Amino acid sequence: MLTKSQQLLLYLMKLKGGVVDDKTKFAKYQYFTDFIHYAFYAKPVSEDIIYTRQKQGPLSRNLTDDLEELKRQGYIKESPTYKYTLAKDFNLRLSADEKRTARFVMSKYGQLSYADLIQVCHAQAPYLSSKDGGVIEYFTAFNLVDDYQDYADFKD
Amino acid sequence: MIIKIMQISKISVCPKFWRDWKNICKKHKGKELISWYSPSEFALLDDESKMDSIVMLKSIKNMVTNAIGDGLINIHASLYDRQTFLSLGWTIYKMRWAIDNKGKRSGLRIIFCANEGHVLFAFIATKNDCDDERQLESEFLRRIKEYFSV
Repeated sequence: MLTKSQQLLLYLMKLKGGVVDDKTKFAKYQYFTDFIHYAFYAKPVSEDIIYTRQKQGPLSRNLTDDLEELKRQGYIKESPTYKYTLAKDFNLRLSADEKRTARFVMSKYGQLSYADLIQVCHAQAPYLSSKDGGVIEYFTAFNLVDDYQDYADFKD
Repeated sequence: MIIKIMQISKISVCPKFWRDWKNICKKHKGKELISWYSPSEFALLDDESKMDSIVMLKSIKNMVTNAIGDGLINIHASLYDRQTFLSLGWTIYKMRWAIDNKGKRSGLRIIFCANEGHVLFAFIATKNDCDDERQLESEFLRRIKEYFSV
C-alpha cells in the first residue's frame, strides 16, 4: 500500500499533467503542500515525514526513497535527467481538504521556475527557522497563515 | 542563491525574558515550549544554549538570525517606532510569531535589538498580554537599558 507521502507525489504529478521535469521542483511542491496544509489544519498531508533545511530549500528526508518505491511499483518512470512521468493509474486515499491544498499549491506555484520556487521558500519562516541541515519544525508553518490569506477562498 | 549579508555571532537575552517565557508556558502547552534540560542544568547554560534547548525559541532565534543574515529581516519583523538606542548602534525590532492556525495576529509578540553581529532578545509575550502598549514599552526599554548598563 502506498504511503500518504507517495500518494501526494503521485497526485502532484497528475496535477502537473503527468510530468514533473525536475526533482527539486517535486521537493518544493511537496514541501508547500505539507506546510500550507499544516498551517491551516495543524497536520501535514504526508505522514511521518521530516523536512530538513538544504541549500535548495526544504527537503523531505523520504523523497528519494518514495520516488524509488513509486518507480519499483511501476507508478512512475524516471529519465536520466530526473524527469518523472506517470506510468499507471492509481487509487487516491487523500481527503478532499488534502487534495484541495495540493491543487492550491499547483495553481500558485505549478508554473514557477526552479529558481523562483527556491527563492519563495528561502524567504519563508519555516526555512529561516532552521540551521543548514537541521530539521524544519512543522509548527513554524503557522507563520504561513498570513502569507496565504487567499487559501480560504480558493476554489478550483 | 542566498548571499549572506551579515553573520550573527552573538545571542543575548535580557534576564526577565525567561520570566516572560514562564508566563507563556502557563497558558500554552506543548513539548516544543519546554527545555530538554532540568531547571538546575538550564540555569548553568549561556543565553544561546538556553534558547537552543527549547525547540520553539530555537526556531525563533534561527528565524531572526537567518533573516538578518540573509537581508530578509524587514519582511519578518518591523522597526520599532521609538529607536532609543540608535546612538549606541542598536536597532529595536518587533516581530509577531504564530503559534496556531489563527496565524500571527493572535500569536506571540517579540522585541529584540540588533547591532552588527549581535542580537539581544528583550521581551516575549502572548498577544493578550500586550494590551497596554505604554507599559510594555517602558518595560522592555528598561530591560534593554539595564542590559547595557551591566
